[in-house]
Amino acid sequence: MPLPMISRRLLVEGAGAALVASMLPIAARAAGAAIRVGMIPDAGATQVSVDEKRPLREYLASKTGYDVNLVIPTNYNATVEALGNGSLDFAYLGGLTYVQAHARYGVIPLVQRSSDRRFHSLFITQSDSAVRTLADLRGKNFAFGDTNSTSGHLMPYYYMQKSGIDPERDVKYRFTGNHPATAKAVEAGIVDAGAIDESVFHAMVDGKQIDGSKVRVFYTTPPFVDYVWVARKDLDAQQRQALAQAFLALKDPRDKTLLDILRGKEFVRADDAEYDTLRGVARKLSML
Amino acid sequence: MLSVIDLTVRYPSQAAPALQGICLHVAGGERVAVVGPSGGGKTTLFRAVNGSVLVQSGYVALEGERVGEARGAKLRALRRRIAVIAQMHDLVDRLAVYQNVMAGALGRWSSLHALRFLLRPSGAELAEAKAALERVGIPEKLRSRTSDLSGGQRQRVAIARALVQRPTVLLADEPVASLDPARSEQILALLCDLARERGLALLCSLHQPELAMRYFDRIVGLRHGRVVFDRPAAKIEPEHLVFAS
Amino acid sequence: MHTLTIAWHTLLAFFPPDLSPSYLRYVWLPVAQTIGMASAGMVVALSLGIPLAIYVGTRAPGWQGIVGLLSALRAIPDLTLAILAVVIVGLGPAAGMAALAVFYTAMVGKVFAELFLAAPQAPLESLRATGAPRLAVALFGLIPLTLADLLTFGSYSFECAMRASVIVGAVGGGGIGTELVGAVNGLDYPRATTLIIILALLVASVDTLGWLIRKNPRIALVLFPVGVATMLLNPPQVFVVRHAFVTFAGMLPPLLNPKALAALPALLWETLEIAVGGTALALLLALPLALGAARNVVHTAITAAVRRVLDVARAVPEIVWALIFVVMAGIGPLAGALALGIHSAGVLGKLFAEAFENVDTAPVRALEATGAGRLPVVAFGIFPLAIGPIAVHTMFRLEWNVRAATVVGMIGAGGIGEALFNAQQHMHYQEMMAYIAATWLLVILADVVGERVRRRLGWNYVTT
Repeated sequence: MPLPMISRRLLVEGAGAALVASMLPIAARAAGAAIRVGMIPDAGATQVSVDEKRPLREYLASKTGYDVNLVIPTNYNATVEALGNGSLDFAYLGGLTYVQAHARYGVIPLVQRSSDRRFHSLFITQSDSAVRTLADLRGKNFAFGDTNSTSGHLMPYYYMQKSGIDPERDVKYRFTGNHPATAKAVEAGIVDAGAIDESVFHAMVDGKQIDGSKVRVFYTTPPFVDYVWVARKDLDAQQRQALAQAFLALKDPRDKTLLDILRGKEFVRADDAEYDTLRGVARKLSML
Repeated sequence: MLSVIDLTVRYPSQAAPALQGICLHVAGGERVAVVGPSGGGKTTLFRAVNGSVLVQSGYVALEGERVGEARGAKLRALRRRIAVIAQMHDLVDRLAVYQNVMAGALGRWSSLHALRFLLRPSGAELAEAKAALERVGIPEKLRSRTSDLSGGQRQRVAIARALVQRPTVLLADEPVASLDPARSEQILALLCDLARERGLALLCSLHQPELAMRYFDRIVGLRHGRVVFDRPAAKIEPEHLVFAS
Repeated sequence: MHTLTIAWHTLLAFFPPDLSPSYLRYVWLPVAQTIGMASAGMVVALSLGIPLAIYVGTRAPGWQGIVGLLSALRAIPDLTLAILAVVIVGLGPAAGMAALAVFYTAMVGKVFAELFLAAPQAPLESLRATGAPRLAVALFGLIPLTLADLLTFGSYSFECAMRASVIVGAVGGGGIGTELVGAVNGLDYPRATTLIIILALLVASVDTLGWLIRKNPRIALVLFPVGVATMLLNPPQVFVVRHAFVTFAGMLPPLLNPKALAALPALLWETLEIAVGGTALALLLALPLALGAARNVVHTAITAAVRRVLDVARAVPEIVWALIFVVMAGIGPLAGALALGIHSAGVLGKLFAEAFENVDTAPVRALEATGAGRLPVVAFGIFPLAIGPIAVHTMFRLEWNVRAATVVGMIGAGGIGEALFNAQQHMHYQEMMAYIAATWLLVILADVVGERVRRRLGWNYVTT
């Protein structure tokens, strides 16, 4: 007769659960004391990659005076939505993600790396491949990164069109989901060529994550504006300033650890007008 | 006590009616056996009395109240007064014996009371279960698991449950169908004793006419959905029973 | 040949797993989160699903409506629910728990209701005959009569919840799923292998736990403190009702442009191909594996080994198999079908093995008494007796795989899922809703057809 015992314990548990549930609002307030910073998953979203960024988190906490929760949502869309529903206060966004988030939720641009103002996408192929120019891509298998990536999809797509290659008709393309996967797919020959973020590509070659002798860059796009740190619209102005100042105060040799994590040299103020060209491209490709 | 008046029942899937123009009266304390071939309408008759089958015409009345018209709580109140003992498949194996016995009281308990009983049966409730089991001769099985019982013991538990229900009518549908002859006689004797002792109207369907003649006051023959005879056991002639065997 | 070489090299890249203490220290928290999320989801699902199932099982007024509602809710893929939950509840385990709770309430409610409806009628009839109210009939009849099946399905769905927490983690729901998808995306294959091993161990533990629960149901109570504690430790980040409403309203009405509309039938067809192909492959693999895993067919030393194989196949969710097969076999429906096939083989293998073990022992013993050998006993006794459950499980799996086919599509295995995912990523929410609606209709259709077939096989509940 197992039933009687189950049911009796069930009642006790239920009463206990109701009791603790009444304390829920308190727990929720305690969780709200930190500022929540999100980074797009341009190089994987794992506990390890969050932990690798621990010096950054500690630096931001000491400069702003708030506890900092660093979060890496698993895709670009989740980051934008989190800024909209208030589960993130700050975020590091790509150019396209930024114009989307700005149009949707009015997020405010704060700072960016100086290199973000003149960013490039690289088109890569195998070293022994016959592909030398964009025109050679006709009929080939091609890899973009994430569909919402500026340097992995939007701008390469745009420059392919500009040079007379229609990605929809002239190549067989697919999305790998992120930049490292694109590099690996090209290195392994799963695709004939791919488009990738320049900073991720160089970091992977330097870090021996891919074999630099097997992969070759055959086209570099003209410069465009890309990554930016933003705040959600209704965030307190003082918190916004505190975070922006923390980034602007970074100086090269002194803060090398932090700048390496951020893959940059120095930070400058960002503003929305820089993104007008990109916005136009996004609109043209109906991605906005 | 129990009256069946001009009762006709027709199942949608079958051309011939399952019961046709049945009339039957059973008084309190009276013991009536229903005999006949399988498919003759015995089970349908019991279901109609219990209010669990849709009646085309005629009606069943319990102390003047019509069973077929009752719905919801009123039907439940009527059913409470009719205890059913089926072939031994109607106990819940996983429950303890005392729980199956006290299931007879569910009709007068609220759901909350039922839950409370599962959690912690009161002394009085256990005593009632024990008393009922004593009456059917197996008090020692109070806390056994029902699945561990033999066929005869299961039938005794079903009878104990009927007692706990405190009914006015006792319906037993083939109560000894799967028992050996010795056990069958014990169970029938027990049912008939209880009917006399508590003034219940006992309606019992049986396969074996000779058992029916031995234990019951009256015997009703049912075939093709019709009553073919209805007379005191003493006045049954062998030719009446030819069709049943 | 070239493709095979790549596939082989990719496979090698997953070994050896990263078992360094420093890494295991990292994954401790996500693992705890996953266990907590699955428990919390089940706690809610059981608390809401059982009352609903009892309501249906006692055939209370309007029970058919509730079955319809539960089927409709169950037809929305868990990943889709998770995406909506992230928008409404915010990032983190709270969103994962919310999605799991909704999904498993519908699943537990529906399946428990069907088990209740299929319960033996004689004891219930005799309980009703005492004039007992519905709830009392459920307490004294329905639940004890179906307890063995309730516990089997309950522990099975806990397992599913454990895997589903991986899927919801992939879109921002926290836990081991975020880690696993992150590791595969970051090409960190050795660590992905570590996580898959941990996942397999988790599911094996749940399997053992389920076995213990079936022997002693009160062990199931450990779910409650774990689930409740997780809910308390991971409150919703935000709950902005207005934002949720505005976002949701912005998704309506579902809308497709003419070009997308014209492409829709082909997308749906491809999704169906993935589902059917995956189920067929699963059936082929599962039958021999299940015989090897049935304790009443072969020696327990063999069943233990076969069961570990099934555990691994099952522990790794479709979407993770798909991630691996997309890397190994390339993008497209083949990877999706392989992923569904391997995972479903694990699920069906276990369920079939249980069906073999649950067969009525009397006819089997009667056969054995004739001196029949092992193989004839299986062929003439165990197998025919278990054919009903096998058919039902396969039909259910096919229905499930239609839904899963839309999920694996989201990571490049083709079909409607890919279109849905891209629309969601670009925040074309009206388009996304149109794809969700199409998915939903497809799953409902599979459900209806499945039920017809099951009814024809005589394996449906009796309607009175």
